[in-house]
Amino acid sequence: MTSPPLTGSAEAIEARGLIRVHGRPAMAVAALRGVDLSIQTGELVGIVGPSGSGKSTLLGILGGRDRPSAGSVSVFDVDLGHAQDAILDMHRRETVGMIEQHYWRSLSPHLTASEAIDQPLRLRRWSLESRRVRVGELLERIGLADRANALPSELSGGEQQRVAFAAALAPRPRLILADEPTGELDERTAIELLAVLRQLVREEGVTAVVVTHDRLVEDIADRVVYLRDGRAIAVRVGGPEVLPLPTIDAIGWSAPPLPAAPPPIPAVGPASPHDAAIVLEDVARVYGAGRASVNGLPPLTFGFARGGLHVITGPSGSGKSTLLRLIVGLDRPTAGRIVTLGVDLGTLDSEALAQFRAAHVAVCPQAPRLIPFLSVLENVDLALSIRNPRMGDAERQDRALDALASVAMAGFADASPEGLSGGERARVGIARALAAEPELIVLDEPTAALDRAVAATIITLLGALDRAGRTIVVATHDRDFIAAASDRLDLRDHRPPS
Amino acid sequence: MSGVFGLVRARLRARRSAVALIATAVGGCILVLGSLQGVGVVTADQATRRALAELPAPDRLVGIVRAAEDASDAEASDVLVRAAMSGLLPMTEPIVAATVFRPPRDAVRVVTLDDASRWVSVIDGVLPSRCPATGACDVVRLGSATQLNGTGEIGTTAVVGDRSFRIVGTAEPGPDMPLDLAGTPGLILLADGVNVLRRDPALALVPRSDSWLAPIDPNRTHAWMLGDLTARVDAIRRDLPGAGRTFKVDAPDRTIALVQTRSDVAVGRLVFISSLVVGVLLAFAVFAAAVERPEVGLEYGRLQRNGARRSDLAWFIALEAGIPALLGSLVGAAAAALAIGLIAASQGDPVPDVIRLALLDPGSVAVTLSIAALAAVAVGLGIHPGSGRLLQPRLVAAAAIPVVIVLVWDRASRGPIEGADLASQAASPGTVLLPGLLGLAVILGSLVILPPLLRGLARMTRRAPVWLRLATTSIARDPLRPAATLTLLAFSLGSAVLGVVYADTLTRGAADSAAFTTGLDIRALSYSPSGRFASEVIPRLRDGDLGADVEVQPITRLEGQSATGRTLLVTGLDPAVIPEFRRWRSDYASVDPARLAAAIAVPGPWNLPGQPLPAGIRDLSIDVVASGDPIAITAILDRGDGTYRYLDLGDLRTGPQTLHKPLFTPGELAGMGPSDPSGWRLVGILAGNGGSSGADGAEPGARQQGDLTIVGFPEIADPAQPVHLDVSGVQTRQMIRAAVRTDGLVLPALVSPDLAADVGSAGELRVTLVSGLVLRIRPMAVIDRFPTVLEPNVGLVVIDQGPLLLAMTARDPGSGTSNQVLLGLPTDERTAQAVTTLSGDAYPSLVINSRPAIEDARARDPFAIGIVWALIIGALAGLVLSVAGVLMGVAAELGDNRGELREIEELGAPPSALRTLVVARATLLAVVGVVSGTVIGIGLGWLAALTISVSAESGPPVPPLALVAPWPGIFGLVAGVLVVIVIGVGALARARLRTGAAPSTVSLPARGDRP
Repeated sequence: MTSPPLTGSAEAIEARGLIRVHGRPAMAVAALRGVDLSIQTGELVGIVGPSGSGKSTLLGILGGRDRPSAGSVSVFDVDLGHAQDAILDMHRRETVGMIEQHYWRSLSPHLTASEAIDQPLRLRRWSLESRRVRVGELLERIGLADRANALPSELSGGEQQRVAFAAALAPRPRLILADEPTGELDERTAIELLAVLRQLVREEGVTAVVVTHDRLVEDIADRVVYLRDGRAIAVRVGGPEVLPLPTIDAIGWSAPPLPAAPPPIPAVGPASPHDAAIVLEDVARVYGAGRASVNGLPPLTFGFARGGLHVITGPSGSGKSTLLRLIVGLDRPTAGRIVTLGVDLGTLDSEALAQFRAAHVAVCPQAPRLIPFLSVLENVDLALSIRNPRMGDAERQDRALDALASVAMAGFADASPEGLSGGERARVGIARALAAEPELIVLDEPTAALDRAVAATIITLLGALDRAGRTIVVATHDRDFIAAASDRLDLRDHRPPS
Repeated sequence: MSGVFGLVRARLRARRSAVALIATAVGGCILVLGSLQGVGVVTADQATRRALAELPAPDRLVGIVRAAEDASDAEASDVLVRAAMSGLLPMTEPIVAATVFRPPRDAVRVVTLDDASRWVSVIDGVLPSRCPATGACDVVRLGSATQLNGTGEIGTTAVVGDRSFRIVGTAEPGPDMPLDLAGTPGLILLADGVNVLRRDPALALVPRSDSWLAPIDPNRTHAWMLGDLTARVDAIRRDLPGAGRTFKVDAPDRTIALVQTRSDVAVGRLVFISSLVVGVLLAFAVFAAAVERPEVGLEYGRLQRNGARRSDLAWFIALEAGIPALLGSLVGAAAAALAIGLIAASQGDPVPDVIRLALLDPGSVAVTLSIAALAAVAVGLGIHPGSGRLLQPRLVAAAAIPVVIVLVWDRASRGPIEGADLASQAASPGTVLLPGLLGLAVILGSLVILPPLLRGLARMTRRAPVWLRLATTSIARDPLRPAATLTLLAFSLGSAVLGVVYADTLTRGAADSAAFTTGLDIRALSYSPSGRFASEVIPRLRDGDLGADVEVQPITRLEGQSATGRTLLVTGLDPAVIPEFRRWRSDYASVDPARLAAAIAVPGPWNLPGQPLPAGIRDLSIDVVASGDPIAITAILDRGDGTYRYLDLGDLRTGPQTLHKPLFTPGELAGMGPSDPSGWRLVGILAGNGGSSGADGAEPGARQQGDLTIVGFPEIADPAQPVHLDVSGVQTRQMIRAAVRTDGLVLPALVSPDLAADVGSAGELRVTLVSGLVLRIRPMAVIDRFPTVLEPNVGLVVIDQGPLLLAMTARDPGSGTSNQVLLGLPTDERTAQAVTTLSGDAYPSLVINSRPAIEDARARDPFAIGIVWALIIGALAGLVLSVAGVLMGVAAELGDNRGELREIEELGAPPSALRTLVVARATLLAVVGVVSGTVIGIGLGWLAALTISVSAESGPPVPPLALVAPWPGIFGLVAGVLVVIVIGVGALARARLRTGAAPSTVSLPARGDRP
């Protein structure tokens, strides 16, 4: 996968002592604390670091969307720290191509794949013929020539991200900046996408900076810069086999050692195969009808044993979330039969399904929507009220506190959710599910927005919960999660060849 | 730009509903504005045509008169005048030519017109046939005057010039007669055949007045033609050779000016109201745009990342805002044209002309384009992702509220807006924009205040049922949009409530004004100075001439001055009538009418003392002893019926003497019985220097003094006590009479605030009447207004009529009479009957004001109808927007808050609970919104009533408009809106959140999933 790093003839990016302070003086937060960085033309560089390490701030400055508070940064000999607004505009327009983490935000839902790739060219006044040639060429390269007229809603997540890559590269920018480009993709799709990215970068001869906490990027990058607390603490030049070297900056600051790898996540033991919590018999879900129909979940027969931590994995668009919704009765299959906790969901109407969920099931969304003006405890309390409006105030309070304690959040009971970190918010979401004392908990991508260290704590927490006999089903593409699970369902294995 | 245009085109195709929403809002602006302009045009036209139709034919003529001594230049003049008047013909009836022959030495006038039957109706005989070129010409006599020799009677012949005219009948002018012959002396003959007689050589040397008369046709002269009509008349005055010398040009300039002024007032007020409605509609457009902003923001960000230039981004926002605004403007203009057409057609106005004036004249086009541009800018600001920084409610409110305060201060310091302000558009732009700016300030203020309030509400309901908790939590979670929805609902409904309140205020203002004018149900006064009113009319009314159920209340209204020179009106009445006044309002006085009545009532009787005379008396003899100058003496006799007789007794001589005079003429005596008269009294002796003594050398103005002892009339004067007389000077008089109760009496009175401020330390005011009578009054209560006093800016004094009349009589017997009468009747039908009777020959010379008739006339006034229509349009727009705003907000939230609903569903809430949540949330917003809207509407109504000093019929309101809140109507309106909202939201919720086996309750896909 790894190829020798390109050593360009010139430095594309040169940053020295880069400092960026956000906020008012009284409440200032230093996002970058003196980053030194040199990137050669044609290099593909990964910027890796935990949440809050300053990755996105660095990307913003390189993209001309932000200015450093101190230090110097030049991109292709343009001093971005002191450039006039018009120069920055030109830098953004002529030099930089941006790739977003959220591909659904990158693409206009109203433009087809070819139109989306064509738009940056039209904005740069390319001729019609040049545009036609360029769009066709890029569609070929990303393997979507036959989907040129498909709208984003007709493409899978990976396909959308590929179109987003092509759109960013279309006007031949000299610098590609990618912000968590694989953040919402499963591993296999992410690997494919990164391969496409690498290929495009090589073929187009552009310089690329990829900000991520996905270690897959480390495999394809020519150079990886490790950020922590606003500083570059190490640089690895070469493949994964090369050890990163701590940095020493211009003023002699010696970086701390790289953080130790998180402790291994204990794997959950296999569940009893004889006691099925969920049975799926030829379950399928098709959206729409006729030629416009979309296969949301191909026919699937499977069983989840009672107890254990089960993961559903598969590429984006393979139907993970659809399956989660089907097994708790939030959606209806177009074919097949689902038995959850011994109840044939097809026999229940919507009201009965809701009662079933309230009594037995907890659903934990990817990003729990905590109410900002209620305390953490009140958020859990309100969720319990919805489940069981007749439950007494005292009992609700006790259960909520117990649930918070079980996810180590009791100390935050009176805190406002607005002050919580992503990991803490995820814990509160899980507590909200646990407070109902459900037999079945389903979670949708609970670690997608978390860095590896935080994600590891969540996985460990969920792994511990199954010991109480609960059945936990998680839709995820997090490799750590998949490794820790007691059972795995890979929807790719059940998908008919396209 | 092409990339941006392609994107916008794709977005327009895909987001038709969002485009339609914004376009609808902008179109609504144009529709409402255009409709109001149409109402203004139609109203002004109706008023114009009505005013013209009500004018007598001679008063609505455009006429050119040529006075000539003979027939020379007659042909040339005719050609000249007809050419000059040709431009008037689209607005007038065909030119009527007329000539009046005025032979210099004969008291006869020959009037000639064509088609005599059109202008006169026959009383006797026949109409004249067309005059032959030669020979005798048939004529009819107009009026009753004949010549001493009998010429003028039917069958006689009059000769004028060398032409003889045979009188074949008598006739009187009909209503369309264009010539005003009133006051024309002598025998008036009407002949048929203008051209024949004008050219007749037999009349060639007879002086004449040639007239070319074009009556303005009310059915063809529309309001918008008045300016053209005036211009054409001015052009004739300016350009016709000899105009002002040979030719005299007449036109109803004053009537036209009056109608135009009223029309301008009405249009000015419509603009004032439109400002508010358009402000609300624009707020709606911004609201609709703000709902779209997240989506636009995403696209904007994509464009930025894709390398769009600033100009591209600007084009994107401009096209996103401009295209819906343009579409809305076009659709709104078309809808407005339709609405205007319907309005015009319903009123019989020419539809193309009204549409052209309301929508297509340069001013209207400019207004429409301005609204469209303003809407585009407003929408652009609403959808611009960066406008959040620029349009921070706090920042805008901080900027807008001081501006509004300054404008309100400016408005308040100028006082109410008068009709003239509106008509001349002299009101500052701030005044006209005040309602809209106030609305904007309220909207912005609400966006600042509401979010924390909504959060507080959510926290307060922590112990409430879960559905209420969820509803409040859902509102407070992202409070800006609910706050915007709430504000829009409140303001839209507020405009509807304003429409109801202000329309009712105007309607009731008209009723108040009618009642204020008449006091009771009819107010009658005489324009004849004969005195018959007091001596004949009032007694007959009191005797039940109109029926026993009629309450008759004579009043006395006199002009006067305060000691400080203020002009005032003194009203004397029976205090008991005050509580009977129709539609008394609390703003007339801070004290209730019964207490006002009690405060000024002074118990009677109020009679002038006098010496009774024996029944059957024929002569008056008074023994006196006099010394000094020859002073003229007059006896004043009370006839017992409220009238007085002044009997000249001659001049005094020095020494004892008997003043003697017969009381009656032989003619009077002929009809009298032996005991007539009875009840007569001698009430005073008047000494005067009227000049009658000039023959004796005592010139008027000279010193005249003396002493007089009256014997035998102890009720008048003490015989033992001579009275010193001094009547030196011109027309100086001195009355000898008994003391009366009003001498030195301080009368309790109701006074206006300005007079109350003039009260001296003794608590008294001295009021001098026009007659010279000085009244001492003590203010007992302050009144701001008093029914029947319509004159502006005068002081008010209201006192008991009894002592007032006595004081007047004591000073000048016979002068103490009522000069108006108020009549109270049990029903409007009886009132109408009474008006009919009073208008008949039995009651000549009366000016009659009837409360129901005034009310009826005002209700039919086109301006009154027009403003009510305008308010109805505004109210309907408000109602539609208020409901649409909430439903749109709910629909948007059902789409955007799917995550919230999905999460609640995932927690175990059934679809029915989700629907309850959605309906409860909307209902909660709606309840708060309608309550706020009601308060806002009434507040705006109060503001309108306070600041627009114009009545429904576009005149000055007397009394001023007082806010009326028709609570049943408002409650009905509010309840209706609530019901429609709840039903609509319920339907939306059912459509989106279905119960059943399949499909899913919330079937919206998660982001990133396939659909």
